Amino acid sequence: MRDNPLVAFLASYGPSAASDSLADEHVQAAVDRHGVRAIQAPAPKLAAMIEALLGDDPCSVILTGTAGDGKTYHIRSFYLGVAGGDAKLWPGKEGVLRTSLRGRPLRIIRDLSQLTDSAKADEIEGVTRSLLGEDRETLYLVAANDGQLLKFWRDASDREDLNSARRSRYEAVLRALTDMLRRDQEVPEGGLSVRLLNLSRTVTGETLDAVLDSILTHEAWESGCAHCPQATSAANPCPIRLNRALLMGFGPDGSDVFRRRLKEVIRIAALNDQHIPIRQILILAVNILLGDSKRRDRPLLSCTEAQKRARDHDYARTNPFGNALGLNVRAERRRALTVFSALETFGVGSETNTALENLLMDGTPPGVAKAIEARDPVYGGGLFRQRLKNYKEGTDTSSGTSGFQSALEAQRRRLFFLMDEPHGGGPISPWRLTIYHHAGEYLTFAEALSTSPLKNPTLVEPITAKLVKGINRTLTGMMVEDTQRVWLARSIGRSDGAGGRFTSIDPVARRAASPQRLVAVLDPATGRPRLQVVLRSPRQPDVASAPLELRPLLFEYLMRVADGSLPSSFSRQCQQEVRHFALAASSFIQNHFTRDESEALPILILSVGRDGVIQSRDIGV
Amino acid sequence: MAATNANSELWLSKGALAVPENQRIHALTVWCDPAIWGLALYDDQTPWFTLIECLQLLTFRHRDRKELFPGLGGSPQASSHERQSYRIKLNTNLRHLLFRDQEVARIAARGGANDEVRWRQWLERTVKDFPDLDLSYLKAAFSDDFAHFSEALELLRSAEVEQFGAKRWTSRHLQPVGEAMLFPDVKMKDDGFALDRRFFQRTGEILYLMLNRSADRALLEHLVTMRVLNADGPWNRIARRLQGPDADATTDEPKWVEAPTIGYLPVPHLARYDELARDWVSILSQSTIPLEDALEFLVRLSGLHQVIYIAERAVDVSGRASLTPFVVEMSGSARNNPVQILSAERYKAHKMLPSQAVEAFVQSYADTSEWREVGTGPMDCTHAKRLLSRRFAWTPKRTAAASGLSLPTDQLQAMLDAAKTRNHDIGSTFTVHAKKIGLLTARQRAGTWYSPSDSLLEALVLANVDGAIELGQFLSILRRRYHIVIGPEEARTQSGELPVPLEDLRENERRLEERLRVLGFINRKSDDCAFVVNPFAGGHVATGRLVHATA
Repeated sequence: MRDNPLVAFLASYGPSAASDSLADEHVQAAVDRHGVRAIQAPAPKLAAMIEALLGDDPCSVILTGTAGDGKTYHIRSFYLGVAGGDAKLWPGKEGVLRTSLRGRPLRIIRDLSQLTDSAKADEIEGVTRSLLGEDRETLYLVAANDGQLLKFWRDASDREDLNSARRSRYEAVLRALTDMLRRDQEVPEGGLSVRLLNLSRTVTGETLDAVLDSILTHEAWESGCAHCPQATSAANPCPIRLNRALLMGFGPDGSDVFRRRLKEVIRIAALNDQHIPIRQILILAVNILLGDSKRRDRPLLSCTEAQKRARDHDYARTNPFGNALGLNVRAERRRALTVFSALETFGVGSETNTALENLLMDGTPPGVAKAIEARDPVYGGGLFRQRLKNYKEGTDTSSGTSGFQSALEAQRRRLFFLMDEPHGGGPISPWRLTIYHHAGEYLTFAEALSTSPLKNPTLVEPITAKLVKGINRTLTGMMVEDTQRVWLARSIGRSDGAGGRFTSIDPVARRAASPQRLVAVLDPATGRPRLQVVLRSPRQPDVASAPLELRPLLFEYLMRVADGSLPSSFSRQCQQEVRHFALAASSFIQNHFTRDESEALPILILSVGRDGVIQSRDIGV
Repeated sequence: MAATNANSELWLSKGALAVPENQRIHALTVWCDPAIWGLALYDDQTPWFTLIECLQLLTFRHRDRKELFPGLGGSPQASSHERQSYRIKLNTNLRHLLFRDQEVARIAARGGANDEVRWRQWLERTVKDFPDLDLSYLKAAFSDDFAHFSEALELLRSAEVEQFGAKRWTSRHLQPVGEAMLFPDVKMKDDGFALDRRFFQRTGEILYLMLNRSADRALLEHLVTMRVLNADGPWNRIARRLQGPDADATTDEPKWVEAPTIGYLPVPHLARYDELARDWVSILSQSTIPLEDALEFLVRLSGLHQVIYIAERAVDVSGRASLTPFVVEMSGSARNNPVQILSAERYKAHKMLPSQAVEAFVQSYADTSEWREVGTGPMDCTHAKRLLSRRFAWTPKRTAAASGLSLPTDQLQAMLDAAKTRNHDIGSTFTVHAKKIGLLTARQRAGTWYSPSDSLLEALVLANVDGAIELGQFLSILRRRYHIVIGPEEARTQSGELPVPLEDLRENERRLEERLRVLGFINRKSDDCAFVVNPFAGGHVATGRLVHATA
């Protein structure tokens, strides 16, 4: 019986060290070796490249992104698919590929870091001329990691004499690019003629779906498994096909919750500035399907091994929910892989609460337990029923990694990836199995803020109220209940932990007739919600203070503080961020309202009343 | 030393300015440390006290409408040391209320009584205990509200700096966020107060002199006036209300003490002065940083520059090539950590620098013909004693052998030994101040090494980051401006070698990033690029339409 070549082919994308160097070039070789169609990775920025390079007013394009984001893939797709380039010339021996685009010269640098120093020195002036608009004929298409990119211009300017014209031109480009990168801007606000496309900011749900679909719906799943008896066995299903079905959502109720949850987790990680490149998504998908923890030196299944696991009913080794977290991979290797180190921070498996433990141990509430069991009997009851019985009867004698605790953790992971999110939160929520208890609300909040005007104000309102409460508690150090206005409290000494006992600024209300208000908005560049103080004045554009960026971690912190707990592990960083926001907002308000230097500011001493509302007393002059 | 000796005869380090004639140096053990580093960088004058002393001088000049930073004295061709004097308001009423009164809080806490009773009780008690004080103005100043008065006092007390260690009430100080919050460091005498310089030994005057000789002094004049001296924030107004009549005391009233001279700073111009002033300009230019915070950053940075100054000056005077950098360890833990070991070694080496400089300084005199021509006879011994007295203000202890004076070389050696072993020497200042500003960490058993506090990191970021810069750039600035080495790039010697394994330095750099992230100063863009950001970069005009506003 012949193995499915797709399995071996997919393994080349897996979590082994070799896949680190699996750049675009090497994929071609793997395709030839295994004789299956390549995985179709999406090129989400191709349209933007076309628009920039072939638009009415063409300009150069710089692609940045983390290693594995698909920079080279984008460029190859453009060169071969759009610019009509000669496949025989790709990628070329030199670092710079010369071609033309609608009669204009186009110079392609597919990896800036591969250029020699002298080649860089040859190119810098040309690229600079194009970016500064001094040369409107020649176009450049450049790919580089962001750090490399900035270094390119910094080194160039360091080579020039102080005060020379060239140096100041290079510095101007460096400054503009730094600013664009930092603010996640694709289009410069002025000065430069360029599109800066950052592939690290573009992993959306669609990209993920495209990658997963390309793997899961590959035609070789049908042809390659046609003659395998395991493929159709109901009693001993092939673990690879079983995992594929779970990931696709082929269960009895057709739920695709596993895939959805993965997308949510990756989104949360990205909003926490833990970007996961496309290549890492491939590793994740392949590992879910093929992961195997029998032998640490061979973390992926072959067809033969898969058949063996099925025959032995050894599904504990092929658990896709453990594979999703990379548990089949050696710890040091796992930590080196962005995707698994990012997922590890969620704490899936160790985090839990009483209601969820009851669900796992006692099957209550039964409705929820039944629905989940129906989705996947193999990795649920199949692995756990007997263990649980023994444990309850006191006959379980296992310990260590095969102990009951490990089995329970495996069930928590499965639960996290398989259970639906209830409406309106509550303790039986998958997010209670992570450190991000409020991730569900976070995603809902971000989603609700993305429409203007708000489609769903009733969703936004209570969450904003809780955030405000969390901020007030953080700044004052008191258990206050105010949800409608923020007190920008501070202390005179800067010693840690000292709560703010006074302020010179009236509280900033969320809704009021006053010109300054606290608003929640979505940052279009990052997709992240933020809070900021906005000032409205007639006939002038709105002015906003430096925002409080609501990363999922900070959101979680504020929600928990509002609920009355203090999550010690990440408190300090979050407190600092809230404090910086408060100081910046205070100065912002003062600078806009104190017209006269001699104007006396009040000194409002803050205290908390019996109802938890902040009271202030002016002891100023 | 004999009072008749002229300051002009003191031995000077190379390039140093002559010591003004009115400079009082009689209290010195020996003219070595002051000749090299100035008069004086004092270990017990903590960084906050240094800033406060500096602000006393500036406040006086501002009040007297004098230019704050006129630069060196003399003419541009022949510059001479600054000669200044200044007066400090005693501010006794406020100081009494804050640091000597025990009754206000007690009476305020007592329930039941009405305001009228409380005021009466407190005023009667005060008159009885302190007949010289008249604090009756307070009742009206606080509109009869005793609780209000007590609250204001308590709030102001929370602004005390350097609270630790028992000090007399006339040596306790507030964060100087306003003119009314300044006090002199004085001793009570029968007829009032005297500036005894128990803690304030002119380290703040040295700070002033450094700023006064910097390239940026004109810009600084403007910024210090605007941001610091004209500041009349809520704190200052509370303080003024508590001061009562003291608030408007003019300098001809007996409510002031006089500092007739200021410290001595030997070298007219140094790059270090300019770096110091640059940080002042940078911090004070950021209007988003509240004054309270800005002053704390200035305290840390000024202390840091003075610590570096001590090391740099020592290197110069002892004729070494350059200062070996401060290898700064980021974990604060000594376990199995080559960076920590190196850092501790560097500290030990730096600590030796001052005594090497003192040796070189004394040697520079021993090499003169004036000294070499001294013979070994009894007359020569007397002559040598006179020379050392004139040049170094040095008088040997009376316990010398009954047979008379020792040989000139022995006298010189005895002086050198005394210079190197005296209490409160410059090496002690180096260590104490480096600890106070958060550059140096000491752990029992683990030793002493350079490991920065969060507050120092914060000050360094805010002084050096305008908006955002790449982490690598930030590290290179720290190396260039402060001799601080954290990662492999900066640790590399000129021949390209690393003093500790690459991996350990990378780990050290990674820890710095982690600590800056926790402080809210890092914006990592990818595995290849992280920005150090200054969160106080002000609000900006919102570009485009806000995506959505909820109220």
